[in-house]
Amino acid sequence: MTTDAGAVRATWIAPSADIDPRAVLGDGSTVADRAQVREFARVGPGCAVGYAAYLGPGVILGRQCTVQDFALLYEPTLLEDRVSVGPGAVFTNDRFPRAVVPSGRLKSAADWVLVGVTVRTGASVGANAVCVAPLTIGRWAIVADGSVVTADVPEYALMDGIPATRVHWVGQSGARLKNVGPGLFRCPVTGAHYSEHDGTLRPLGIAPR
Amino acid sequence: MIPAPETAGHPLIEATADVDPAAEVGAETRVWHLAQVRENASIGSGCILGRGSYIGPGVILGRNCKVQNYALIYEPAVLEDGVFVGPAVVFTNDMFPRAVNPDLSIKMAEDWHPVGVHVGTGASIGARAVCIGPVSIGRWALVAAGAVVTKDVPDYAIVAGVPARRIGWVGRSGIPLRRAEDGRLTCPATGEHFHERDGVLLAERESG
Repeated sequence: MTTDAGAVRATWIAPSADIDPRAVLGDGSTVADRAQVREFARVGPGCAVGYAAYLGPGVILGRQCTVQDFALLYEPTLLEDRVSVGPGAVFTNDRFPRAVVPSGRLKSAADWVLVGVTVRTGASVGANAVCVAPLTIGRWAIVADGSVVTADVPEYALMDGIPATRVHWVGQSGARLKNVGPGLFRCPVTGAHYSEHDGTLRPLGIAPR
Repeated sequence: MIPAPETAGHPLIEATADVDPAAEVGAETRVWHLAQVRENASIGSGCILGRGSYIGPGVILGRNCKVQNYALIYEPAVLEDGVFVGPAVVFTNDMFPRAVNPDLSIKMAEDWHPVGVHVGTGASIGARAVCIGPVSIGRWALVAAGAVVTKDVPDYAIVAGVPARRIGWVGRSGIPLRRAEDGRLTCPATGEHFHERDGVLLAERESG
């Protein structure tokens, strides 16, 4: 998968991928074997959907998102641009899951309120992580492999554990930020500085070393 | 899913699903793409087996169970009625997993004893949870997403974490129970009352 902004590639759909005719795939998107893209899902340009991944009805992916093998994104998941979802990650849509209603009848779509996971631009969700809707993952945040996210994630947070808690801050590069002063952080890769205030991190721009 | 009229009374099995001829699949059960149902499995009526799910040999499901995408249910699991198994859930069957015996010969069926997961009526297993057999999940219990269940779960318990611990109680609707000032627990959805005694929850109509 290329990450060059504006790169134009042919859309490619593997022979055994199951794409509903009412789904929309953007230019240059690829869908691997045995993936399923349900009705009304919208996949933006330059996305890659991995082997046996599942995009539920009406799920939306922005530009250049990557959804790895066996990831399961139930509706109403929304990924903004350049979101990375690791292999086997699951985004749920039911806070109170039951197969049946209290009387014993099979629960149908009308019997529960769908809740969704929103992942904002640039964020990454690790392998086998679970995001329990409803929640929003902030821009450029990272969810570590195998974590279970149960609440909103701030921008630039590195989340880990079950339930996931913030263990670090990360920059746009994904590298852990170095604490270089009171409330001041620096990305070792890009040199960008960030300030922390009341549990939120804000970019300050690139400063010379 | 409402079956089309001409299929009423029969299971609906997608062409890419792999259902063994020796498996039993109940009326109006829906088996989605790429699911596998092994020999001698018994699936009740009105169930939904999601895409890519796996039901091991001889596994028993009651009526109206929902098994979501890529859930793996190894034998000898037993699910009573109305059980929800979330996406990518795994029920294991070997407490001491090894590919080989101590002499490095490959482990065969007779070299180990499969142990099963039992799930009571109405219980729910959240996404990507793992239940390590042998273990029993009580009726209407709820296992949180990503939990790893290593010991029995009481009826109506909510368990979460690795290893899973009880963090609350839940009613049949799936909504956590609220505790009133008198210590009585109430389901906000159905209005049913419960009381807790020695770590066990009893619905008031059941406790006599």
